[in-house]
Amino acid sequence: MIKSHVQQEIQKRLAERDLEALLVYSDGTHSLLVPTHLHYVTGTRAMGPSAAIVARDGQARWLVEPEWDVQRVKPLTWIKDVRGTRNLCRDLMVALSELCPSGKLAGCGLAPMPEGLYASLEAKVKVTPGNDLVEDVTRVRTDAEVELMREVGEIADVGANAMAEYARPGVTEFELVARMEHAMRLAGADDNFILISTGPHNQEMHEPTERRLEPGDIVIGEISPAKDAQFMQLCRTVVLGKPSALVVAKYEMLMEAFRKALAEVRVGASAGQMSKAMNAVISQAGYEKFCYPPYMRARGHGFGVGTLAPGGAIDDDTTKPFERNQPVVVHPNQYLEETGYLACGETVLVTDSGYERLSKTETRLESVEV
Amino acid sequence: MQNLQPSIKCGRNIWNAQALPREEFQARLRRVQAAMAAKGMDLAFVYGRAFNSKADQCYLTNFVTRLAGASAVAVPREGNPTVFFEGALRGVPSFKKTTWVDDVRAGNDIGALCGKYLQENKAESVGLVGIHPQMPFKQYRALRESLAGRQVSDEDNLVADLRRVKSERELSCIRAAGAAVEAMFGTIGSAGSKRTERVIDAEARLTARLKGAEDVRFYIMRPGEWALRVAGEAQLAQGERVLVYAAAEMDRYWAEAMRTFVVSEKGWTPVEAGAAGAAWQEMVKAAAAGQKGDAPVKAAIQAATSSGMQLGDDFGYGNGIGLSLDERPVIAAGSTEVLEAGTALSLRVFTREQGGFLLGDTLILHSQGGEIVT
Repeated sequence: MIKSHVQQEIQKRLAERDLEALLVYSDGTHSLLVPTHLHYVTGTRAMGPSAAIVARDGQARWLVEPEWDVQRVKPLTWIKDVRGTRNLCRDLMVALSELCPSGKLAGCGLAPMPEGLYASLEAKVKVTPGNDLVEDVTRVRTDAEVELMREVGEIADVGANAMAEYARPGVTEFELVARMEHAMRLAGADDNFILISTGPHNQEMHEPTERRLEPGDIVIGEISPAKDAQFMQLCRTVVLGKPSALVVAKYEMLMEAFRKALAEVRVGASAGQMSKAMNAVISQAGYEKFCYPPYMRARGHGFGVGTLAPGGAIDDDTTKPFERNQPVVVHPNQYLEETGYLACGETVLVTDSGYERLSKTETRLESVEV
Repeated sequence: MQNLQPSIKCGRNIWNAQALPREEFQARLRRVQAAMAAKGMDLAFVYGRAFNSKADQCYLTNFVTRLAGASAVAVPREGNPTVFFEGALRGVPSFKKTTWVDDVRAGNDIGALCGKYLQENKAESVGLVGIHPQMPFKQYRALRESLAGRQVSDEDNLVADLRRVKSERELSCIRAAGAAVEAMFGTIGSAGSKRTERVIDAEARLTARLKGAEDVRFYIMRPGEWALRVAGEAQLAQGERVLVYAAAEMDRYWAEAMRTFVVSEKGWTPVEAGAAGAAWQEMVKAAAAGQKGDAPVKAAIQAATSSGMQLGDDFGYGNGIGLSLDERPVIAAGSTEVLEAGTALSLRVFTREQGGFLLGDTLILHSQGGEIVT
């Protein structure tokens, strides 16, 4: 998605910081839990190692590998000067000489940069950390961005419905995930992050195996479709057969944690408070130790192309506040000794008064007749 | 052929011990350890990032990182390896089911995990495989500090050299991947003419996934675009031509192929190959054990030129394929690398002429000729 305001906003911030240019790097990987700054700035994702330079004076250049990928990205980006390269290091140094002769450069997304490239960069320019520069630009969500979030929310619903439809005894985990992926691709997803686990007592979610589902299984899934690098996530639990009273009770406890956590979501509220509200319910139920590492990493996280704000891992210590139009997953996913891991949660859009649900399917314990 | 990586593999992820038993990996380990001994290396760290660069460490362990993160394997000159992966400790039990290696360690920083391992290991000489070209610089610098006082060398080809010629078991996995790719094209061929690119993509992927493909790549190109891209929402009109790339990974091994279709009433119908097809035939004939890596390229260009057609090298003419979509041997003009029996190649011809045409397959080189598996 080309965001017309991005170049101007970057130029403005470069001027404020007295910097001449911004360098944005990607190693060509794509992750649910890492912002794709290069995608955000350029408008599309990179195939291989790639670097874009946006200069304060209005010049911009994007170097892509392999060379033929120029043809793919050109219609998808606002950057006119897109060049294929077989030697990113050499061509990047040339570009910096031309677009940032003063050497006053902000660097964004440089964390995965390998030593050879970074050493050359360091020898040539003074690199000022610039992730926050781009992430500051991302705070303004365009209508098109918000609409995309809603669209991906609907795609996630399709995935959740497919999970409930195809989770049946005899089906393998990989067949089930294949059906979910298929349904979400048909609905418009261009990438799918799906983790799953099945069995009477799940330990954690993982990629699908060859295990065949059995009556009585608890099927848990993180259903996270993406379109144009915007992810959404639903966390769902489906029981094959009538769930035991114990599973029903424990899931209701997680639902209470979910409701309490959602009540803390609104513009200006601390994201950490959402986590604390969730953990309070689960701790009061006697599972305090399972609320924290090594058992539990995060109670939610942001989603976005150029940012994961208010955090890539929201826990009790997260101090950043929620901001308008942030998509945030709230998930009291929890391992419980009696039931195993249960999945519960969904992604919401932060609003002034609270939140907007991005999915229409209900977060609840599902069961199917077998 | 290099292409876009997903955020997760999403497909069946197991250690298929029937296809690749423990002794297969132990034999590979012994070969790597012998190569290390020959170079005077006590320890090697073999590193890979995400899904397009996992081949070397996967060769030794069958291990693939879950997310688009990094993983590495420590290989002592004697004894068993240790796997490190970027991720949470709670992932260790399920990861252990995908590798024969017993010692699997989780953490946020592979460089730091390697550094910690060095405290347990008195190796004087350490080889780094894939680390300088791939490891994030901060991790790399911390690791180099941990290596202070030891003899360190970059050994980026240590494993790649050994995995170029495949075992029969590996070739069987490539054949299985080839069958999945074939099935994808079968789905495309039987698709109705009114289906959109997106639907074709979804159906093709489902076909491969249900066969057990752990990763699937599918890209599309219309004449004039000349770039393989993700399928869009468009429906193709009858008579339109579409060039398709499909790849599937089975039990860690890839096969890929390319086809050209025209949309007809019956659906997507393969386009008659014509002069480009003749160039392709010559290319396959020239891809023989003992030939150099530029022989298939020369043969294809010569055949096309004699028919008055100009081939394009936009996507290259080919490459080795296996645990990686793009590996040795190099198939390109000027390549002097000698082709060997037991290697797997992806070969392709492409032209923008005559409406545009792309044809490619994965083949296995035998001493008596090539075996096309897609």
